[in-house]
Amino acid sequence: MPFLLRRIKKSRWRAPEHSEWIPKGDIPGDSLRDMGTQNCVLSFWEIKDDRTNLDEVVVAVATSAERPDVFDYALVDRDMVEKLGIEIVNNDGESIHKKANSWHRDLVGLHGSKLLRLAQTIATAGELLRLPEPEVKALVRRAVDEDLIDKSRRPEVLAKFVR
Amino acid sequence: MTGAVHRFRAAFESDSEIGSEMLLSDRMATSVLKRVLSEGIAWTTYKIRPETSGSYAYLNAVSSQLSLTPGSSVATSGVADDWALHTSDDPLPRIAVFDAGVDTGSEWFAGISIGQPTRVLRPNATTGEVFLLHFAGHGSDADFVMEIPEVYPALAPNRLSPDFGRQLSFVDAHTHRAEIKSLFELGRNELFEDGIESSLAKSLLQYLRLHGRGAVRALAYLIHEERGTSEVLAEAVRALARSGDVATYSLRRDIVERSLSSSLHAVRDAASIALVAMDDPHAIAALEAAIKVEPISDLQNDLRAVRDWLRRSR
Repeated sequence: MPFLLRRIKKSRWRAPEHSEWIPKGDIPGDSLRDMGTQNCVLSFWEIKDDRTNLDEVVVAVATSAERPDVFDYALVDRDMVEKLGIEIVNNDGESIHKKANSWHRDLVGLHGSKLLRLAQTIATAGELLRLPEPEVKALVRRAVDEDLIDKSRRPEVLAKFVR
Repeated sequence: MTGAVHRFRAAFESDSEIGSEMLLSDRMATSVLKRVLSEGIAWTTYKIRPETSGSYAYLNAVSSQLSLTPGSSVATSGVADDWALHTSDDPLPRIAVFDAGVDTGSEWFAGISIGQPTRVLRPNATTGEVFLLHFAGHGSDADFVMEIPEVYPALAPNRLSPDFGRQLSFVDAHTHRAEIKSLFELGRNELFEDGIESSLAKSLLQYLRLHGRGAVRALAYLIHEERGTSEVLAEAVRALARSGDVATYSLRRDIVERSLSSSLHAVRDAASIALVAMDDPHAIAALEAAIKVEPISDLQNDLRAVRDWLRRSR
C-alpha cells in the first residue's frame, strides 16, 4: 500500500519532559500543531509503496517553503488512514515540481475526533523521519539538473536551494 | 589578533578623494572603513554611487563627525544620480542587512551592521568615546560579510567630540535580556515551521546584528536558563546558527553546542539541526558527548546522523 506524507516538526511528536501524565499510547498535544486544518482539510502527498517518488515529493514540499531547512516528515499507510473513515481526495498540488503535483492529496472532512485519531495513528503506526538540510538541497539541485523544476516560478526561493 | 578577512564579491571600481562622490563596489568597503578609522579624517559627507551597470549590491556610507547627534544618523541612499538623504535611526528601506565586526577580547568590540545604527565602541573607555558610522547596503545580492580587525588599534583616540560620546548610552546585559525576553514573549503565540522564517527569528537576528556580542551573550543566558517555552528557545537556538556575524561565530557555536545538554528535548533537537546548518566539524566532540547521554533513542539517532554528516563533510 502507498503511504501518505506530511511535513512536520519531529520534536512536537516527542513527549515533553516529565510527561508521565500522558496516557500510554496517547500523543503529546503539541503534535496537533502539525495538524492544522483549513476548512477541515489537511494536505498530504502520496508516496508509492516502493517509495520511488519520495525524493520528488520532498523537493516539491521543501521548495514550497521560503528557504532550505531540515525536512521532518511523517509517513503513514494510506490504508490505515482510510480505515479511520477519512476521505482522501486527489487534488493536484501547486509546487514547482513538474511531476510531483499529481501526488498531492487532501484529507477532507476532518472533524476533531477524526483529526485526533489520525494524529494518533501517525504517532503509533507511522514513521517520523528527517532529512538534513544539505540533503534536501542536494535533492533540489538534482531535480533542477534533471529539468524537473519549473524555474520560472519562485526563482528567489529556488536560488537559496541551489547556490 | 588574526589578519583581516575580507569577503566581498564585487570589484573595486574607482576611488576618488575623500568627500567626493565615488563608485563603491563591495570589496571597497574595507578600505573605506580603514581610511575613516585609521586616518581620523574629518569627514563631511561620504557618498557612494552604485554601479550603473550592476544588479548586485552597492553600499552607501556617510560619516559626518560633527553633524551626527546622539540618536540620529545621516546616510545617503539612492540609485545612480538619484540621491536621497536618510536622517533617522530607522533602517533604510529594502536594505540587505549584513554584519561585520570582531571581538578582540576584553578591550574592544566593534560591530558594523549595514542598514542599522553602527557602533564601534570601547566598553572600558573612561572617556566614553564612541565612533559611530552608518552603513547601508542595498540590493538583492548584498549578503556578504566582512571582518576588519586590523583597524581597531587605530581607533583610539577617535576624533569625536567627547560630549557626543558621553551622551550615547551603552546597553547593559540586563537590558539585552529584557529586550530579548520581550521578543520571546511575542514568540509564544507564533507557530514555527521549518523552512519559514519566523517573526521571532527575524527579530532576534536583527537585534543580534544591532547589538552584537553582548546581545548574543544575553540570548545564551536566556536559552541556558530556559527562560522561555521550549519551542521559542529551540527557535532561538536555530536562529543563532543562521546569523551571518563572523565576529560572534565561535560564541554562537559554543552556545549551540551547550544547548545539546539542555533539559528540553526540543532545544537539544534544535541544537543538532543548528549544527548541521553551521557545518562545523569542531562540533563533533560535543555531539559525541551528547549522544552518550541522550535519553530519547529517536533523538539520539538524529544526533548520530548529525555527527556522521559532519564527519563526512570534513
